[in-house]
Amino acid sequence: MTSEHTTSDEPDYRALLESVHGIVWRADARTFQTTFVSKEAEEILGYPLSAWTRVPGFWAAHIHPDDRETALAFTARETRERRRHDFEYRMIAADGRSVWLRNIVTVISKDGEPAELVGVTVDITARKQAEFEADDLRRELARVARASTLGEMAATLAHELNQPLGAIVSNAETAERLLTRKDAAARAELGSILGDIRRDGQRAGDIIHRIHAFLQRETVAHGRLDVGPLIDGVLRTMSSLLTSRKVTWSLDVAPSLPPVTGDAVQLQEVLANLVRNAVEAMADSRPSERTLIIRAAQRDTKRVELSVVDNGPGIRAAIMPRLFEPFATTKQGGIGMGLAISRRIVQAHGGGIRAENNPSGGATVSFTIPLYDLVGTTTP
Amino acid sequence: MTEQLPIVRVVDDDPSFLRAVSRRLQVEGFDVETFESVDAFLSSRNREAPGCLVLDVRMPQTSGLELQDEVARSAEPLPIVFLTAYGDVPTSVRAMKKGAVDFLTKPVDGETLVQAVRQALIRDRQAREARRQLRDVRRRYESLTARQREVFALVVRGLLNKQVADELGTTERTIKAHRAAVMAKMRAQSAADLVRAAERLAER
Repeated sequence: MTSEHTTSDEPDYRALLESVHGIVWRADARTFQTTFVSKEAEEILGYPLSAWTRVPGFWAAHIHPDDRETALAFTARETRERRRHDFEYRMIAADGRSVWLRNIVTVISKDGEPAELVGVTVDITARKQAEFEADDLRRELARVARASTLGEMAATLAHELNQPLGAIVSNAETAERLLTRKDAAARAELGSILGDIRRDGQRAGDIIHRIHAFLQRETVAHGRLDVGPLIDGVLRTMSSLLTSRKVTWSLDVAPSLPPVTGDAVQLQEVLANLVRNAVEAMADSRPSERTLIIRAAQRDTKRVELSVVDNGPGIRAAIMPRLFEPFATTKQGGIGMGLAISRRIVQAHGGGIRAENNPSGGATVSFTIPLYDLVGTTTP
Repeated sequence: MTEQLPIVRVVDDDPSFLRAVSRRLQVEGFDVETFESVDAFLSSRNREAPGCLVLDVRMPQTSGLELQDEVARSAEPLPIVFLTAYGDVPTSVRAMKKGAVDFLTKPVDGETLVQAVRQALIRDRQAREARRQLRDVRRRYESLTARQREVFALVVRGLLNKQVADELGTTERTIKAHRAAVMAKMRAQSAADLVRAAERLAER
C-alpha cells in the first residue's frame, strides 16, 4: 500500500474504531495512563472520554477495589515480559454498577523496552452473570443431593433401628407383666428377656456405629496379618449362617502367601460382608447349587487378592455401576451399606474392590490388600 | 362344642423381634406359633387351623404382602395384622383394601397389638362360622333330588302348594310330600328358614 492510500483511508479507520463493539485504547506502558480511548468506553462505563485521558491514573482508580491489585500486578508483569495478555476484571461504572470486562492487550516495544499498550476491552458482564447463575445452580443441586442422601439415610436408619427397638419395647412390656408373678418359670423368662433386651440394645448401637464409621472414615491400624487366620476367623463366625442356609463352601488359598498389612477386625468385616452377600444372593437357588468359594492369591508383587465367588443369579447390570454406593441394595430389608462400608475400608487400606459376574454364572467380588513389607516396616 | 383354640402365627425374619412379640402375646394368654419366613409358615402343618397372622411387611424372599395374596386363596383365609418398620401409605392402603385387620408401625405398643390380635381372632371366628353354615346349607341342598330342587325354588319364591302343583303339572298332595322332604333335608322349621337358606346359597 502506498502512503497516499493510507492518508485517504484515515477517516475510515476512525469509523471502524467507533463501530467496534468494544473499547479500543492505547496507554503508556509504564504508568498505564490512557492516551486514547474509543467512544464505546462512554457507552459501557458512562464516563466522558476526556476523563480517561486527562485524569491521571483514571483507569487504575476505577478498577473494582477487589480486583485492582491483581489486575495491576498482572498487567505490570505481562508488560515487563512484553507478552500479549488477556484478563478479566471488574470496573466501577459512572452509575456505580460493577461491570465485568475482558482486556486483550498487546505490548508495543521500542528499543527492546515496553513502550506502549494497545488493547481492546469487551463487556462480558452478561456472560459472567450466566456463569455465576450456573455456579449457584450447581451449588444448590449439590446441597439438595446431600440433603436427600441424608434424608434417605434417616429413613434407612429408622427402619433398621425400629427392629431392635420394637423388640426392646415388647420385651420390656412383657417383663413388666411377669414382674407381678413370683414363680420360677416367670423368673427364668425374665432372665432370657433381659438377655434379648441387652443384645438388641447392642444391635441398635452397632447399626449406629456402622453408619458413624461410614461417615467418619476410621483410621486403619497397620499390623502384620496372615491371610489364612483372617479367613479362618471369618468362617468361624459365619459357619452357622453357612450351615443353616445349606451353602457348600470351599477354600482356594494359594500356598505360602506373604503377610499383608491392615486391621484384622476391619478386613474380616469386609470378608464377612462379602460372604453374607454371597449367601443371600443364593437364597433362591436349589441347595445343591449353593456353592461358595473363598479364594486368596498373590495378585502382583504388591498385593494379595481375596475373592468370594458365589453361584447365585449374578449382579444385575443395572445395579453394577452403583454397586458400591451407599443404599444401593436390592435386598428387601437390607440397609445397603455393606458394600459401601467394605469399599471404604479397603480403600483406607490402600487396596481396591471390584465385582464381576462369572461366565459360568454367579458373581465374584474381590478386594486387594497391600503386602506387609511395603509400608516401610521391616519384616521380622 | 369341640372348638380348637385359636393360634396366633407370627412371621418375622428377625428372630429377636419374633421372640419379643411372641412373649408379649403369650403373657396376654394367646397361643402363639412363630415362623422366621413366609415359606416356613406355608410349609407348616395345620396352617388353616383357627387363629390369625401377625406379619412383617418386609421380609427377604417372600414378603408379607405376597403371603396375604396366598392366604386369600386358601379355603380358610386367616385374618392378618401387619407390622411394618415404617408407615408407607400406599402399602398400608393396599394391605387394608385386601382385608387386613390392621397395619401397625414398629415399634408397636403392646396394647395396640393385643387389641388388633383380639379383633383378628373375632373376625376369624365369625368368618369360619359363616363359612361352616354355608357349607352345611350347600351340602343339604346337594342332597335334594332334582324334583325337590324344583319345589324348593318355587316355595322360596312364595308360591303356595297349589300353585307349585300347577306350575309343575302335578297334584297338591304330591307337592306336600316333596315339600315335607325338602324341609326335613334342609333342616328348615318354616318357609322363612328355607328362604334364608336360599339367600345364603345365592350369596356366592
